[in-house]
Amino acid sequence: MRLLDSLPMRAGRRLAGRFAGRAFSLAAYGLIAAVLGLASAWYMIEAGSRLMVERDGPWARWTAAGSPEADPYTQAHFGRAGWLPLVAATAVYFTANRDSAGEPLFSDCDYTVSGPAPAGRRWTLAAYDLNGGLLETGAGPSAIASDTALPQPGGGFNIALAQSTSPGNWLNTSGAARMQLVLTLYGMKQAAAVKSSSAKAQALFKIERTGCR
Amino acid sequence: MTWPLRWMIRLRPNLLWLAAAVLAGLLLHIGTVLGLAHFAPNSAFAALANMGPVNQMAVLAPVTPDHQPLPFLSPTERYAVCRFDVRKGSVAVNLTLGGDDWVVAVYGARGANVFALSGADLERREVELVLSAREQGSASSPLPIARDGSTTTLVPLADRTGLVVISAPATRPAYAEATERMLRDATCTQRVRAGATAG
Repeated sequence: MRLLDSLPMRAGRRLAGRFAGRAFSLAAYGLIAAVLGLASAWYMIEAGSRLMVERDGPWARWTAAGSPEADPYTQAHFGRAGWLPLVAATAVYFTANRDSAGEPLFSDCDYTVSGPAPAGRRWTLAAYDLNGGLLETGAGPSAIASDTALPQPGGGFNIALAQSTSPGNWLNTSGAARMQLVLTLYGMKQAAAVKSSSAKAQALFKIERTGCR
Repeated sequence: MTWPLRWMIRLRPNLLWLAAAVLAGLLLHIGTVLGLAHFAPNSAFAALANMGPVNQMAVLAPVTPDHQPLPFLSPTERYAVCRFDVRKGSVAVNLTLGGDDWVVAVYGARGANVFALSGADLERREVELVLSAREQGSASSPLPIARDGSTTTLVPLADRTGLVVISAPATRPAYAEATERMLRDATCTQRVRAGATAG
């Protein structure tokens, strides 16, 4: 009698165990799928690959920015940010969220951005937070352009990024968070130069940390 | 042995399940990317909804950290924006590009830059753009295009809505007033098709 009572119980327990095991397997493999899918999508939208992003030192350029024929990753990258880029024939954009040594850019650190003048008609440099919002500044400027920047005696530019006033070309930063720089080159000539095989020879600004608070 | 550990041991690599997980991950990857590409959460058209009615040019206040209607706008530029809607007819945009570095750009609803023109591209600085849905640009619905010497360009659009953005350098205070005036003079006007009803 005891044996008869325990048989259906044992069968039930075995069935429940098998069901729970299957559910656990399904959840585990579902987790693998979710991590694989979302992490790879996030990485490709944020950082891109060599197929769509050209890198030059700390600077990255999404080559199809703004183009109606842009690949879905480029569309998602700019769509997610809410950024309206111009096509490369009119302007090209270089973004940097790390300095030339590969360290992340922080708004409570001081940096020197220097190098020869980028080829072309006009350039602008602006500092943003990682969502594209301008950094809160005091009296100083949060962006600078080639038409007002002071060139070095031997050519080229030297721009200080600092929270406190700096002589010469100065971008005012504030806060203590990650930031990024956007260098925009205007004009078809620049775009053609960047598109050409000599793109790597075109020197972009170096970003060097000079100190942190 | 506790039950989760027992099941983890039982969860020995099953190639079929692993392949299914990779395939599901791939589908999720594609869905996420296409979803973000087509339904951008920060649509510029929606973000500028409070700038005024559609098919009307609005000059944005100088970009500052406290006033930045869209991400990545630059304080080195002044902007004028027109949210266009060509469902009821074409939209004409008239402006004067005040210098080589002035740019007028047309964006589709998903932020693709379908057309751009800078002052350096032109000899004459007066520009007229006629934006129309692709089928409206056919010969059966001729548009009253003024050809009085200005540069008139027909811009056929796959999207029915989008943005026209005029950007002008704003780094020289001496030109600030003239820049503002020229941006204010830019117009964005709907040309209602014959037979179409307003409202």
